[in-house]
Amino acid sequence: MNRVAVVGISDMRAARRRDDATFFQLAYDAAKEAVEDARLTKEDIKYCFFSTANENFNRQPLMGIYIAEALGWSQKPLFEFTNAGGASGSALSAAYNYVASGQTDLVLVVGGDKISDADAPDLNGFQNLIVYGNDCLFEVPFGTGLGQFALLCQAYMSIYGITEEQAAKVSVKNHGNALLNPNAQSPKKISVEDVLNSKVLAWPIKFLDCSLVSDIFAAVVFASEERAKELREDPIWIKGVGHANDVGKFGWREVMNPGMNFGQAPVMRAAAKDAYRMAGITDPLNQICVAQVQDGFTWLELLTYEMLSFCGEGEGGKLIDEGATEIGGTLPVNPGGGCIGHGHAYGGIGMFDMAEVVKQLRGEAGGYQVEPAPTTGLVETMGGSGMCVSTVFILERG
Amino acid sequence: MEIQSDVFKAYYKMEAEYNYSYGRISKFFRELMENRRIMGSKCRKCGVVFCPPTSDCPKCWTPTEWIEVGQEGTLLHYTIIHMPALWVEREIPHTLGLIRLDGADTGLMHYVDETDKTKLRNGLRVKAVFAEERKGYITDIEHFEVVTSMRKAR
Repeated sequence: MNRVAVVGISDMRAARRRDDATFFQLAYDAAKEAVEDARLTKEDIKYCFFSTANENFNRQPLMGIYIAEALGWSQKPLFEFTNAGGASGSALSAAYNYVASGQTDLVLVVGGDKISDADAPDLNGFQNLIVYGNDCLFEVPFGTGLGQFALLCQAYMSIYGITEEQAAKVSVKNHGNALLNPNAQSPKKISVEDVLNSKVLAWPIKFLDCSLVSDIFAAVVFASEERAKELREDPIWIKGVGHANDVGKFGWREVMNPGMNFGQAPVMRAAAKDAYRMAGITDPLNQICVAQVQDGFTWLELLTYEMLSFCGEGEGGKLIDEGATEIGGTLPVNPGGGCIGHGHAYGGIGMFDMAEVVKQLRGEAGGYQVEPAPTTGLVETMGGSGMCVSTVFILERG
Repeated sequence: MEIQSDVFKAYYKMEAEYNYSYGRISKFFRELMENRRIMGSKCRKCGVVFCPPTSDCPKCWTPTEWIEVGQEGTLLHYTIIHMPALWVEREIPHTLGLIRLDGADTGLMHYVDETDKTKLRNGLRVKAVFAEERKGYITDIEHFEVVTSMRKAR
């Protein structure tokens, strides 16, 4: 396989509502930013990979066709991926392989969502659309997109003794990190008590345990080694890739993954294992300098620490208690604020997170730059129906 | 790009109707609706009993056979829902549980008729309560009620 580098990233401005742009405009803007950041034009790139969380979130089905139209992608291939938060990881993974295999030397990966279009008459409308992504016969009738995640959070808490206070610390950290990030949607100084006292949505999940709802797209450009070296002095190399799926029905997960329990996410562990093996990562906590992970809910970030082996099983709460994942800690996680403080690109979260890690590795993260300048970064995406699709990337500078 | 100040938005509603085939898991819904029985599907190779059922074991790619599972089971995990979707008529808050029915190996998502957090715990015994009017959906089971020792003796 050939080496592959990230040579272009989009801006990461996040907003709750963008009435000034359509879904397709947001995709166009992100794609243009990433292509320009790579010092390329759209004519230079043949392959485009597009991801969005769920076609239900937009009034226009067969979105890939209209994304190709918005980007002027005529007589060239554009592939569409949808599986909630897992979509972007799938798109990135496929795009990586198109370059690594030598099929092409430049690819554009773009994705995201415009959730505000889907939240009529209010946020509840969007929640209804999320539910449709659950198992249609055995889960949708109960009508709760949060419910599956809440069951997982309760399982994780009760099996490992993780507390609501420890989860709340993730929200405090990520909203706090967002204060340092001018692109962030929800910068604020909050306390553990604020999180605990926020409105209960699906106990144990409370309002401030949740990630944001955003209108945001993100894009990246990958290049072969030869092209990357022509284009930039600071290409960021992709050293490891891992991708995994699991069954959608939450109740089936234990029997499909012998030895695991309902308070775990084996899909992340599988993705990390492949990415670590490829990149030669044996001690993630100390070898990785910065990580962007899917913090859809506070518990999820703690569980991700465990599934990615930043700590041992059941030690996610201890890791946040020790401050290891704060900016300045052993392994800063979501230094720009993540989905909880910065913005939730949903169907484009992988590109969003990858762009954030690239900024860190280039030393361009400004107020939330991790010091000393990081050399190795991790990107993790997670999604599908209640965590059944995950992708892990290891990136390296120089 | 210049941000326009004269932006405009409009309401739109999309509706769809389906006639959805239950295929080879039809028996599960028929038994639920007609006979108040809960069926699981057992893999002929690995022996795992799925409930929710499947016609073919996704682990072994082997056909399953029907077996009746218990109307009682164990509450594995739970959440108390304060924000359900629009089509849910059940009063809020309500509890959603992951239930392993006796004889099954997987968890079934369903309502549990107890919302007091102090009375809920992993491992509670629960029992299916059927809806009077049944139409061939998983909600033909109205909810699961917590089995008290008195009821158990009865």
